[in-house]
Amino acid sequence: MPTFKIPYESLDPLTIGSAEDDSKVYRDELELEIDDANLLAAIYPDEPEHLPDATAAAAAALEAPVDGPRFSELIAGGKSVAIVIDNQFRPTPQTKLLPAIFDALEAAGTTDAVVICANGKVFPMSESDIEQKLGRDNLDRMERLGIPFLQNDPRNAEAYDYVGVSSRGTPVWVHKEVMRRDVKITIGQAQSNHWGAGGGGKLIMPGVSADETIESNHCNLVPSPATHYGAYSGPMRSDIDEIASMAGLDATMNVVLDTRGRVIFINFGAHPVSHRQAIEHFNSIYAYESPVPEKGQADIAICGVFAPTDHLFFHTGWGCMSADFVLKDGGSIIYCSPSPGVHTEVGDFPGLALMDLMKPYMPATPENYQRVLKDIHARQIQMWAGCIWVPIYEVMTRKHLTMVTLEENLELAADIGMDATTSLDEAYAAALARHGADAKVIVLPFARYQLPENAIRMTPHSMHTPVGAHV
Amino acid sequence: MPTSEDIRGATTIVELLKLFPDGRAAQLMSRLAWPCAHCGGAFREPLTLAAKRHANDPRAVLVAFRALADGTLTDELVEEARRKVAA
Repeated sequence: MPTFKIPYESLDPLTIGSAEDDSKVYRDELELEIDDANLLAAIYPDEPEHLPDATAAAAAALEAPVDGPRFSELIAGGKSVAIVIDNQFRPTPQTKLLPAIFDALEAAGTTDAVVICANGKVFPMSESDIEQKLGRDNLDRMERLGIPFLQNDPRNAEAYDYVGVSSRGTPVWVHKEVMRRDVKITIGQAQSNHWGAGGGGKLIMPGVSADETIESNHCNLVPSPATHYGAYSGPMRSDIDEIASMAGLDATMNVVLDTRGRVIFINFGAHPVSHRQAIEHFNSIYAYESPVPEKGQADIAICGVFAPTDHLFFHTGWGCMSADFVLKDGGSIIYCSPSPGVHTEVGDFPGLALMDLMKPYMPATPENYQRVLKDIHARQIQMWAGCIWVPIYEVMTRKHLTMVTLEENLELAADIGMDATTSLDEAYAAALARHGADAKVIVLPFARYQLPENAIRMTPHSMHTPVGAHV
Repeated sequence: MPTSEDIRGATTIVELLKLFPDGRAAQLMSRLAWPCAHCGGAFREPLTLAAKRHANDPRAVLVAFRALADGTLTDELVEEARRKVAA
């Protein structure tokens, strides 16, 4: 009987998403024997070699844009520059990318620049987080060059400029310190995800947008069935890119990271073309040919997690939405995630922090999902957090989710009403008991990255407007 | 350890979290279905304003957090604080 290795990785609670210290990355594996007769597919991505020098690659990308002007041309003539970077829960190695930007700014003689963290509505980074995220050398250099570091402050109305209303009805306020700069760029991780994709314009919205903008976009567009893994042309991602265009985002630097958090691709160029190219590259590695047309949907999906941001199930659990595509309704997701929690300057948060927001709506049923939708409409659910737990909850209304996790998470899981155990063998045996000895099993060891190719929607479909209704 | 006297309506979310480094304030917020412990938006919001924004009774919320500090928090107090009230 073949044995499959399921990554069961996590980060030290004292470190952050872009940890460069491998001693703070816990790379455990679980093993599971699956009978050949049960195996529908086990999908392990074929990852390329990582780039040996991310800083050099970033410098080269700045001067070889995939579209639009070179960075040196963009900033020439004393233009002011806003550099928007991602936060502590994204693994982008800003320590290695920012030196290439600062070299260019120094060469151009730029005197007005700012680095601003796209933390959206997530709590700001602490001093320690900032040092880990940006690096001491970069912070010292910023001080020398007079480049301030700011973080988003979404409920401070004074901090935002009104930009307009997007075509999907999102009122847009973007941080003044970004808006007032001549040149605006983002540096982030390109990844397909359950909002369509991460990175690029997403660092503008929600990254440096006001509370009202974030909640309006998320409340309206997260629950849409057209917002899903790989839906680059879906309503959520399209609204994000439109808002970034409205804000005047010039260009994006995009990295694709492998499952060990190493840079395997980097590009730079005009928004949104360069980000789109990075997503296409990501999909060329991590999207897989769906076995469903030939073999049907699985009864059981076994999902693993990999380290780059794995403190909280809130961040590791996104693969529930990608596994959903290849799993029958009524099927079982077994999600292996240690989720050790995270230490912040305002206290320790357990591995299921923020997942507890679903507790008032448990058990996950179609009827209770209507309560969720009504409370989103009433703005009683904050969708900056709901944009993750609500999609997981929606999947749970149709599929049985069992979490395989650390013992310390079992009590909170039980309190929330989530099924959890410390044993993959036990979870698998229970799933086989539910679905029978002939159950079909799919293994998605890096579920948060993996998506079936037939879920990808890069090009908008034409709108089927009922023209006759207006005549 | 904090006492009930340390907690006022003007105590901000971030101050509350710091008063309970063991995470008990964050846990109580999650029992109220508040994401405030993780929210950059509400970080510096006073407790009673946060209660109002979440459509909870500010007095009941204040009582619950003070009881947390005094070690007298009960399920009944949490339920009272959880209850949604008209704006």
